[in-house]
Amino acid sequence: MKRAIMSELAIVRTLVPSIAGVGLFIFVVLTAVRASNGDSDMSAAGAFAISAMSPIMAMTSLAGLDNQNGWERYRATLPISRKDIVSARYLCITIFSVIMTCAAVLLSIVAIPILNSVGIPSTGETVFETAIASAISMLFSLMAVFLVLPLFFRFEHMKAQRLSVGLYALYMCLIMVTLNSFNPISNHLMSMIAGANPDPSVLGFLCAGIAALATVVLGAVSCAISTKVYWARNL
Amino acid sequence: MQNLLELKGVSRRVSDRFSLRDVTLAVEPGQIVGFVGANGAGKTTTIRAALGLIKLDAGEVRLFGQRCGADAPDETQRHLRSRVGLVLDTCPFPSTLKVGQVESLVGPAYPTWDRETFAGFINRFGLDPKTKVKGLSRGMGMKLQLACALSHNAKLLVLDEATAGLDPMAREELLDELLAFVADGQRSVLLSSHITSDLDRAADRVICIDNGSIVFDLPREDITDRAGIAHCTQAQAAELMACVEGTRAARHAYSVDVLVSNHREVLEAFPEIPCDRATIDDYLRFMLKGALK
Repeated sequence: MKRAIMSELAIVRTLVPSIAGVGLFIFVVLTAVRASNGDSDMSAAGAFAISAMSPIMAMTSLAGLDNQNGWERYRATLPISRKDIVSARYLCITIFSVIMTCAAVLLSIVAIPILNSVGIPSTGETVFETAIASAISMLFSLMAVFLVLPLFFRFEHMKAQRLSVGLYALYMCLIMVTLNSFNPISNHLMSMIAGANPDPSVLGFLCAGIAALATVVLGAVSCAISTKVYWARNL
Repeated sequence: MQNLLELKGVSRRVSDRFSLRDVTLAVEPGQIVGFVGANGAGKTTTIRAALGLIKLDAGEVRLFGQRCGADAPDETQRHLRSRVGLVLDTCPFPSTLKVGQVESLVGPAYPTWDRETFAGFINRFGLDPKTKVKGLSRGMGMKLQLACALSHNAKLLVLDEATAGLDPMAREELLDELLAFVADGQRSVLLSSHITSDLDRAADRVICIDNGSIVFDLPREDITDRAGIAHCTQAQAAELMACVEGTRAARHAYSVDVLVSNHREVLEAFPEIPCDRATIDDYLRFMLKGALK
């Protein structure tokens, strides 16, 4: 397993500059646009965007490299089991996403005094709220990635990408419907757990905790399915 | 001695038009085995079966004496694959990686990876560690793969069309490396190629596959030293084919070429018929296209 992770990390390392570059660009653009509109949460929006896009970018980039030059077939001949290859992929996407989210939150924190110094005071989210919201963005995005990742292990990249668009749409609809339908119930549950007038930080932790739990469960199920389909696949 | 690779009765349906059918072959220690056949004959599919990349409908694969198909336990596959080096026709590493970074991609997978050996090969092959994989020529890409394949103390090298598209000097260098690799008599090479002149020089055995089935499996000397092509008239060909077993004929407008298994015997028995030594190319052509006696 360690060998598979090290091999996978070698590729992930090469992706960091390009994905970080895209992330930085999006961060700057979003922050600038929102600052020019007078929005108070200008730098937080960039952090949310980077956190949400990192898992998807990592997954599609790694899947794209798998199909490049027959690397996937060559990798299957290395002394690494297919189960380890799949597990390493899940782990590396998660690690990469967490690192990118931390970097995005840091960037957001660093941006506040810079924006203040140019006369755009930030009155929006606190650092804690930015961090929790970024983490939740990342977790929701990770769930979407875990939902479609078995497709990338089953089919070649282009086909998986086509199919995954449908699944993403389904996932977004499901989230909307779930949030709408269960809002009164979830509010009730939250107030039961956190009290009638809960502290926003407690609520934030609770939401992040629930999202993390859901991500871990979905990740475990998805990893098991991916292992099964990848093991059966002829390369 | 134990065979390093053995396929016994391997069958696998690939599509409606192509299947591997009862493929049996063995690679003994110290041998370079040439695996020849036309494009689409089943060479790569056989190698995929040998490396456990596809599931088999029938038959078994043994690596270093142990069963190693796609269904073999993970631990067995890991152990056996760590002793196999692979070189493909195209450089399989992600194109954005640099030559120096390929080591961190492949090296961690092998418990016996030797960094110094890899650095030595990179240096010897004239590969720049800072060059990106996409900037490598075909020959350099092959050398990078070879450096990886030779840096973890592999006992068996599998080359799938690795010489295709290489210039004569690069092919010569590759063959020299392969001959050095098997020189200790413990290690072997399975060299799939449709460039048979490479095998004339290096191979100990030649195995031919066509349409998913093994056509012949012979020591190289039986082809290049014993077999011959007799250049006959129609009447001579008829007489020769009546007297000699296992001949194959290729008919031309005014003559007939006949493949014979022992050209010296034919020269003695029919001194009036000119008979040349066969090359692997000739042998392949007759076996795949020539009319059986």
